[in-house]
Formats: sequence, C-alpha cells, structure tokens
Amino acid sequence: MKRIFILGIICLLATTSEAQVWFTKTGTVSFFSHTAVEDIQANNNEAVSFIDAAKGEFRFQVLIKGFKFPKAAMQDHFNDANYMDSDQFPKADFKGALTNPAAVNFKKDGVYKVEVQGTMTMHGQTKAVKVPGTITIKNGVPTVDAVFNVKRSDFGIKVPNFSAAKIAEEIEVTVKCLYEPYGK
Amino acid sequence: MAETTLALPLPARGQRFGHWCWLLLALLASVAATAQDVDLDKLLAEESAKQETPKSDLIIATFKTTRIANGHSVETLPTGVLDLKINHRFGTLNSGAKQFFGLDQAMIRLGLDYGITDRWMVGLGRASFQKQVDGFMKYQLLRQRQHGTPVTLAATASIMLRTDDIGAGLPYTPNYTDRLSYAFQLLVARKFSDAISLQLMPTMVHYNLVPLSSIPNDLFSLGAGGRIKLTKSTAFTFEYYYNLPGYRLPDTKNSISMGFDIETGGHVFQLVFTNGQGIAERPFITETTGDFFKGDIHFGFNVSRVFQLGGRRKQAGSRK
Repeated sequence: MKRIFILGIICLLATTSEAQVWFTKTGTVSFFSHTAVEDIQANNNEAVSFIDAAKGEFRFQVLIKGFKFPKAAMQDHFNDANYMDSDQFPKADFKGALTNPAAVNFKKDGVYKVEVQGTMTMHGQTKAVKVPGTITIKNGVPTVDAVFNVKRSDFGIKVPNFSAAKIAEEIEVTVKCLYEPYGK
Repeated sequence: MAETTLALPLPARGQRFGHWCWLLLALLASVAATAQDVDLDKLLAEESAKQETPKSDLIIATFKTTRIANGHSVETLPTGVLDLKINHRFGTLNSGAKQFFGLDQAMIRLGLDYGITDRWMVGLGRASFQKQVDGFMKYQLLRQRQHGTPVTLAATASIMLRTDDIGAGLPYTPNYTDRLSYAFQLLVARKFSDAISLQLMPTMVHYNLVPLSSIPNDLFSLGAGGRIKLTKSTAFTFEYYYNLPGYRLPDTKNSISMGFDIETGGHVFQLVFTNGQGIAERPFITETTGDFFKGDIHFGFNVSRVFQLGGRRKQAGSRK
C-alpha cells in the first residue's frame, strides 16, 4: 500500500510539473517584402505567444497596428483599408501544435528543429499552414525562431495598382520569441 | 475501464494488486491530465486584452491630409515627415471662355510642412494672392480613441504677412506690423465611421490693421467641415465658415468649398471648388468675396507629397 502511495505521489508530481506553460508578450514578429523597386521591413515587438510544453501547442498573436515601419506613410498605408484594414481586422494570429511533440524535451537544453502545424488568421481569413522552426532550450528556458513565407493572396490582401510594384506577393515573416514561465 | 486499455506488463506481485495499482495510476493520471489541460486560447485572449494599450485603439486617418480643402483638418504630420504642398486656385468659372474659365488667373501657394512630433507640426508657405507669406503651428491636444476620448481636438495658430502694396488707400506708409495678421483655430473632429468624419472649427482672425475704425480687429467665425469617403482612396470633402455678424469685413461672403480627395501612393490630390482665391486662413475665411451660388467658383487643387526625413527610421530599427 505504501508503495502505491509513493508511486501515486511521484506520478502526480511528474504530471503537474510537466504541465508547463510558457509565455511572452514581447515577442518579435517582423516581415520583409522585397521587390525591384523597394524593400520594406516592419517590426512588431509586442507579439503575445504561449506554449503548452506538455502538449506541444503554440499560440501567437500580434496587433496589426503594432507594426513599426521606417516611414510613417508606409505605416499609414499598411493599416489603411486598401491593405491590412486594421480597424476591421486588428489582429493576426497563429494557432498550432508540434507535428511531433515527442521530439522536443522542454526540460533538456538543446536545439530542436521542429515543424508546427496549425491555422494562421489575418485580414479576416484563415488558412491551414505548416511552418518550420527552431526551439532552443537554454538554461531550461525556450526560445522560438521561425522564418517562413506568406502569400498575400492566401489572405485576400490586395494592394492598389499604384503600389503593386513595391509590395511583394510573398512576404517573408520572421518570428523570434524568448519565453518565461507563465504564472497566474 | 482504464486498466483494460493499458496494454502494459503488470507488476509480478499478483493480479489483484496489479489491478488496483493500475486503476489508481489511471485515476491519478486523469486527475493530473485535467489539471494540466491548459486552455491556451483563453490565456491568449486574457493576455492580449491586457496588451490592448491606449495606443492601439487610437482612431487614425480622420482626414486624408492636414487640410480639409482650404483650411486645416485635425490631422498632423507624423514625426520627421516633410510635406511639400503645392496649392493652386484659378480664377472664377464664370469668367468666361476668354479667361479659359479662370485658368488664366492662377494663384499658387508653395508650402512646406514638417512633423516635429506625432502631435505637433509646423509649416511655412508663400502664396501669390496678396503676395503673402504665412507660418503656422498645429498641436493635437486630444486624440479620438475607440474606447474613451470621443473626439480629436487640435489647435492652430498662424501668422500671415502681406507683402503686396497695401499703402494705396492709407494716409501714411504702412509699417511692417500693419501687414501682419493672425489666426487661431480650435479644431474638433470625430470620425463617425470609416466613411464619415465631421469637424467644427471656431476661429478668430486678428488684424493689426483693419480698413475702417468701425471694424473690430478680432473677427470671429465658426467653421464646419467633413469628408465622406466614396471609395477606399477617394473622398468628397466640404467646408463652410460662417462669419459672425458684427465681426466680419464688409462686402465679404462666407467661405464655401467642396472637393475631392484622391490618394495615390505618397501623394494626396485634392480637387477644390471654392468661392475665394486666397489659401491661408485670413484670405479665405475673412476676405472671401465671391458668391458661390452666382458662379464665382474658383477651381483649384492641392498636391501633397510627403518625404520621411528622419526621426522614425532610427526608432523602428533600434527598438528591440
């Protein structure tokens, strides 16, 4: 009986400590558009992200108005109804999970190449995506890096004719988040 | 139930004990599982609600540019932006074919505006009408928010210097100060929807020198204006200034203008139909003489081209 009790305690301890949630609200999401006419880069340093390490689940969210551009006019246009229409669609998010949760040991320092599968929503449209990324555990704390391309047409983001030459159809998105344990 | 699904070797100490052990384990595991079942979507919603800082619910683009047509809108230029403004007002449409419906009598104002901060802008200009040089400052005191502040409130102060020959009717040679006048405006605007923005602008124009001693030096007007979006990049604009009786110059009319904003990348074109040829506050608010409804309508346009000079590039690049 004693053994069962001990076993039970161990079991409970193990599972609760595994239910670890990591989060950040200062993640970086930036994008880069390259065309022959102009290169455009914008950064958002207020991305909110959560990881449920036990299940390998991920959430990312950015406010469209939080993207900072080198030129104010670009930022105005970006938020404009002609482009991202941020009054109508204030957020972009990604919800997904590791395709192979077993491949990452959040308790062990290391660099893990992963793939995350889920849905991306922006400009009011949702699309299923699979994104490669890297999870780095250092001193027990995870960092997530990912670089991937997003097609504007997948999310119905059209641009007016006069600026079409300056804005790439495929936008490179870079994500970098350093997490901290989430505690209520 | 749980123990039957677990196809794991049972401990060697007997089946009965083994059953109990695995049952308990399964129970514990299920308890632990519910405890660890974190709803990330809920956490995300909570966290992002906290994050929706005052900045993100600021209402932007109440008007397309810093002018509605003739006069100021509540908009200011963002930090480090230089705006080159080229404004034309032609003669009246009813001047006939010989004058090419006014196009032979073009008046121009060249201006440079600059955003010192996101709320504070300054500008300089020179107009051919009355050979006037003008300078102004505009500051946004309040900014409309989705939750909270219902309006955007801005104040402008401008100074105008006539450099044409104003000495003709005077018994003495006018001083430099006699050529000066000032205008002060409060601009209150609300963006009611994506399509509709309205603005009120109580205005005072101060003349250092008025034509008759019976006319007060401070003239008061109440302006109203707005825009109605027609498509994503074009809008109809209108502006009207009512000059208060007793505080207006004789034989002047209230200023009326109607126009269209057309936006293309980096430029805003404004087509204007108005009853005055002056462009800065004093000449168009208090010295308009044309009767809009008798065809004294001046066609004109404002072209705005913005350049990013600095201040911002650094900020976007250096923030971590």
